[in-house]
Amino acid sequence: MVEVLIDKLPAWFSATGPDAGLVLRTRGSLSRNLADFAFPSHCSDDEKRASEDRVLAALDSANLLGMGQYCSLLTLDAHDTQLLFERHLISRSLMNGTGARGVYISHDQSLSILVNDEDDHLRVEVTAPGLQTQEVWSRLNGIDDMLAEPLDFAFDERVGYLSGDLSRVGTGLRMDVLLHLPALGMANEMLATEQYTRDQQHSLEGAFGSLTEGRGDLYRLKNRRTLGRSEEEIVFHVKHVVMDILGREKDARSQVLLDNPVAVEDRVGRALGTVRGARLLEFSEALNLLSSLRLGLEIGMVDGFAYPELNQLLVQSQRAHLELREDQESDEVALSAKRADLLRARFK
Amino acid sequence: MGRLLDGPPLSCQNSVALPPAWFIDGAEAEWYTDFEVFPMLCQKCHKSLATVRYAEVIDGKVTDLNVCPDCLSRLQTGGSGFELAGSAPTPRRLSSVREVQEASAPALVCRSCGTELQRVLRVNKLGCRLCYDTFSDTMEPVLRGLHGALRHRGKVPHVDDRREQVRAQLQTKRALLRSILRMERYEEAALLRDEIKTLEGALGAGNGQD
Repeated sequence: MVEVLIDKLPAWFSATGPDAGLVLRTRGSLSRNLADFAFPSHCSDDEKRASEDRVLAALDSANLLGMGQYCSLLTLDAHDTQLLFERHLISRSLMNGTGARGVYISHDQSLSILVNDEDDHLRVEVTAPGLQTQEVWSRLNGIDDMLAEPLDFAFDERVGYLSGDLSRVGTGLRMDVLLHLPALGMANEMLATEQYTRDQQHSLEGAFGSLTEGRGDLYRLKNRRTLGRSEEEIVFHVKHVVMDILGREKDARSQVLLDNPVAVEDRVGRALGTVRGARLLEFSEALNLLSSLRLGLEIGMVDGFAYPELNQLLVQSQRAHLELREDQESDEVALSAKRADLLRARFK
Repeated sequence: MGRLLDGPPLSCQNSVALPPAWFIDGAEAEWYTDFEVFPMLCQKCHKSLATVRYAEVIDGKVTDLNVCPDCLSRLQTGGSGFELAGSAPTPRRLSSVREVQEASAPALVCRSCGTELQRVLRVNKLGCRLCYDTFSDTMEPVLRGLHGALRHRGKVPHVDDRREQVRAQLQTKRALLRSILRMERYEEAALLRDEIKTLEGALGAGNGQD
């Protein structure tokens, strides 16, 4: 069941949105809870089954089941669950949770609805390529309206939509923008950029590991506050913080190219040489190579491939995706070999 | 029961700008790492220099005082408190303050789901919607720390009243206008001002019909 889904490419891979080189994708997630149940962390197994049934009936009445499929995590094995996690279609807490829970995924994987995650009965997530904060919120808003018809959401006049997680109460809206910032890393400006985002009441964290590790130069920018600001204000502020960070990245690129163009050419050239020749690649190394190639593409140093392929390779270089290709579990060395084969085949 | 807090006394100037000193959350940590320490007078005798911070729970409410050593010993021998941390005025650590906060919190439990207040303070998680009523007083500083706000603004489910929707839109657009003006984006501001006027007009027309 999951293999069919995984064989299809998510819509955000297409890199068709604004600033798609620097911004891989924009995601918005909306926390909602059923008014007559405790939050999932305090639900019994029976209650989780009942809340799951009710959400499924609502998905059906909103005609969503015809445009996607629902995967119960109780029926998926560990490998399939890991596949969904690597695609960012489910959270770690849903993956490691207990009881009736699952995820609805639209055919183009631009919409996923997590059911009975740790803190919320529903977490509606919309993903779009590039920087599309307003578009993502508009779609989320529409889906929320559709689901609010059959479902009675827990809401309080003072603090808004209720969540088991106090950091999500209020609008329940968390925007999450995946950024590629190699020049800020090269210029040692990541910590200053992180401080700036904190000053703006947002958070910036490494997409794969910590911020200071900077693996693959990929970072996630999120709004911290969900209470006291309306959805439109949250979207507005996220977009402007992202635009400011992109401005910093572009300035850093100009400076690096001015000060030491050979260093950049060397980085991109080495990456191209490595992906063409390597026989073993660990995931961290693959991430960094793909980052260098993306940088080369953005500054016009290389051609012959495009952002959609880099997005695809980024996801397919992960463990469960590589194992899927061989349909069996592999040790680290075998995985590294498969990863190197994958990249070599693309850039030969 | 009172406790010594791990940290320097705050100046009056700083204490005005900060939330209750016994509450510190990660989201607001930067407030606390950057503040300067100014000498201040003991809040008990108002004569000697305050050198220690002292928290006391009275009727379930936590009071934070900056006191001199003499007043501290009077407070402690009076049976209302005991020493928890050293008196050296070192920068406050978030974990130690949170420990104090948890330890000094009254033993409140949600009657619906059994969630304890300590859990709420430790992980910022609640068990059910009734927890929001049970812990509403205690949660205020937590919410202020996480969001800098206590009241919801934005979408409301099942709003049939068109005028209420317009009011909510106006509130949002006015807040956006303030932000845009601060950023000196005047062209966007002009557009937004027009939208606000249109909405105000719609609201005014509605009033006329009432």
